[in-house]
Amino acid sequence: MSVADRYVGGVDRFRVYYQHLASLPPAVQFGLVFGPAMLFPVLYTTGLTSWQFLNTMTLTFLFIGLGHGWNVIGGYAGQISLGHAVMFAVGAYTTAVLLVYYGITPWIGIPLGGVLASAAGLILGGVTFRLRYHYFALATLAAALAVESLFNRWDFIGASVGLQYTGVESGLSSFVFEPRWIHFYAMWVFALLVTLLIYRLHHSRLGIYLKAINMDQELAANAGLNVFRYKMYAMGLSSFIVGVGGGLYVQYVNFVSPVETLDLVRNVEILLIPIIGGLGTVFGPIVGAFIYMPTREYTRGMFAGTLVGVDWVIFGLVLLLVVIYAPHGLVNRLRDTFGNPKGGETDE
Amino acid sequence: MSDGQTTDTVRRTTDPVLTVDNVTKSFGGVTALDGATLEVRDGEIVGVVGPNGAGKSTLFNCIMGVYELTDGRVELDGTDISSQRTDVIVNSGMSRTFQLARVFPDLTVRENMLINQEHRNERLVETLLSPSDQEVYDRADELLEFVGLEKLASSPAGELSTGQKKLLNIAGTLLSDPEIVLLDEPAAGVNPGLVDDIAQSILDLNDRGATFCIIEHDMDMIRSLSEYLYVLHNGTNLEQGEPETVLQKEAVLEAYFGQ
Amino acid sequence: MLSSLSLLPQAVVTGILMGLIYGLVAAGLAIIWGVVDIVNFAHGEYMLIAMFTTVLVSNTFGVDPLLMLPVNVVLLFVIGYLSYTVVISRVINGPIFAQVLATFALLLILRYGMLAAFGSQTRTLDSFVFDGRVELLGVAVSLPQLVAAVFCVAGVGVLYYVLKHTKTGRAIRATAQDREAARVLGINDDRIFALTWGIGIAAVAVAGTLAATFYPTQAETTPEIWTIIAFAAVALGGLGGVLAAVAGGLIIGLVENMSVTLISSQYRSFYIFAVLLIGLIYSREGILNWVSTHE
Repeated sequence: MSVADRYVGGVDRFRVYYQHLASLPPAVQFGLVFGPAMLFPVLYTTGLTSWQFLNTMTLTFLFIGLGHGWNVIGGYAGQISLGHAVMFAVGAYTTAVLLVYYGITPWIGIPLGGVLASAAGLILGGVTFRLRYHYFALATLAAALAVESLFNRWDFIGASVGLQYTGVESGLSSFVFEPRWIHFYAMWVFALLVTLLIYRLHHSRLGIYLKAINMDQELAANAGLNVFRYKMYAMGLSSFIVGVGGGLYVQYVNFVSPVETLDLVRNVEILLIPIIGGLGTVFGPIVGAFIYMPTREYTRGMFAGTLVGVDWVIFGLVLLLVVIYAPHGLVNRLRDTFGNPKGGETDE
Repeated sequence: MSDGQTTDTVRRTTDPVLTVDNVTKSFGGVTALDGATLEVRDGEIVGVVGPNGAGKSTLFNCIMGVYELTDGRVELDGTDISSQRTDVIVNSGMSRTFQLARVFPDLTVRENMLINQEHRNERLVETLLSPSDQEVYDRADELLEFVGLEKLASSPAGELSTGQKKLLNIAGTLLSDPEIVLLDEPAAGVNPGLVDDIAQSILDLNDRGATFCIIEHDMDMIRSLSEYLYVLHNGTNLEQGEPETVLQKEAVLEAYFGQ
Repeated sequence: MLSSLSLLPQAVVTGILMGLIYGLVAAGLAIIWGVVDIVNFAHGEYMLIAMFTTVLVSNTFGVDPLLMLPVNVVLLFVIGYLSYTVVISRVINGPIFAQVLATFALLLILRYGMLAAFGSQTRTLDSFVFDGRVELLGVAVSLPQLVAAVFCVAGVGVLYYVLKHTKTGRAIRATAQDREAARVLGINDDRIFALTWGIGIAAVAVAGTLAATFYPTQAETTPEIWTIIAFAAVALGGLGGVLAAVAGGLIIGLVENMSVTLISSQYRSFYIFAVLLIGLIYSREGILNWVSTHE
């Protein structure tokens, strides 16, 4: 064996690392993501990291769950919904209204928010699933903006001002935790459970059916699949996850308003994460959230004040680079680049 | 229409599985099918031939509910299935392949098979929580072995050759044990070496009880396969009967080769 | 109710004038959509560029907005052309969500770039030769709106002429019908697509320049509503062409202004979203027809 054969450097070293990681059992892979993260609040409470770091990570784990949720309908079933902020808002508002107006604990409010979000998703899907491609995207976006303009005028839920958690005492039953870092664990559990569910989906019959519908709807029907029914199923599941995420979010920030939940940008944030990471993959939303959320939080911090908006310009540029150079997401890009075992390129 | 009875020397004794009765389909002003009629009985291999534009593929599309019928009736096992949704028809026991082989390219060959499993009594929650039954897996692998694709079971279906895709399509249609399979030009675009394999597979499957209705341009293939033949021309029945006899008919030759 | 009925003629006139302006914006969108097969989510942002240049230059240097018209047309033609060659051409053969997100990225860059550059305050024009109102058939008509509508009709006319009677227009239509066949005929489809983007965005420049004379310019809210209006008009009119888009625009203008008068002005944007949704889902001649023949 020559020296050159033994030398593994540059791209090849990444290939080796990648293949190492990819060949680990899923439980270990998830452990590598979720295990060390359990220590983040400890790092904060011991003063090793800033609140901004922990806040960013809390949102990152929330968005892992949201990204997975969108991935079900957008990545697996291939329906580009630009209206998922509606489901996020339904979850958030349901939880907030029940707690603030009626004193009903979010332990009920959050799942109920998920169920109502699911119902909203099914209504949206029932109306829009006869459309495809751009048209579906456009119709869901229009629906989301219509809901935003309604919420902006709806006095019961505080119209454009929204709802504040004034007078809500912290505690287990109000799901408002003091100190706030406890919320990190709520998001962590949410992200973990959703990741496990999606892992299940990825390898289930349903996962295969949805991917098939995504690839060729007519051929899927020809295999006996009721395409509409499975799209609705995916929409219901996806909406439920996003709705629960909305509930957890409002409990964390203790405030909900149309701009906060329904803005055009929120509609898109949810889908950017799986798209950056890789559609229809289990690790896509995880990778996407870890790239997107820190970028968003830190650029926002950097450009706060005079240069409001520059953060979004940067984000637009990043998005352009992703859709041009890795249109199938980073996870798929990595797999295509490093996944094949042509490794050392030996000439034997 | 010519008198179909005179050439009908084949004894067709089994029960009809598929009955197409006077099916008409027009697109705007153009009539693609004009009262087409055919019958496929249990255990048969029935051929459908006709010059280009005779309406053969339109007929399959009408039977499978891709198009809504303008007029007429399609029955499967005596039940009216006219203009039903495709997946409903598939779940009632009829499947089809396409003229241009179609697969789900990013799914593996085995997944392409599994997707054709019985969906009739499938619960939604079950599809998320439990994988396919072992029986279904075994049956899929058995069928793949039967058409000679078992070694490729874990490869993406997009990597198969056209002929292999067609074999995969045929195998896939059989997974749910349908009453009848419609094959749209199974030999078209396939390299000659594989044509015989496909024909042999069809015959073997027929021996094990599968019923087929085949559209085919390759006359040798249709002669060797089908026991009963329909000739379509301009959307209507021209002739029907035993292949050898029918293909000698003057009207048929004329339809194919002009004056 | 009676009093609001008496306001109806006013609503109809305003609806028609606004509808004609919507029509030109929609025509720009429809050309790009129909020829390049891309839904431009950043349509309103391009319009915002023209509105900002008009308001800022006019207010700062006292230049009449009408003089900004040729400047904006050229400027936005170039920006549109470059948008295609730099961005869209790289995703045009990619997956559909890459196309959706590419124009969405353009939206973010343009909108928030202008927000950062020009601030979040709402700007209006200080002065315009055609300020004020005229009495027309017993209805008070805003003069800037009338002038804008006239120019937009002229813009539609030019657009129609270019597509129907010029060599470039014929090449564009040929490419829209069959990209492969056009390529065989020696048409450079990439260049045609870039030209189409240029022309579609230039159309928006006309509407934007004139809309700025009476319509408030704000970086975040203004483009959103105009994009949705254009989508709704195209969804109603279908991709039948420039005139169909104008017809769609007129319907939106009328529905919007009549419901504002008859029902409530609180839900102005909601009416437009509703029309868009209904248009998308039920318009057989429009979108659905096109989708089914396109697949």
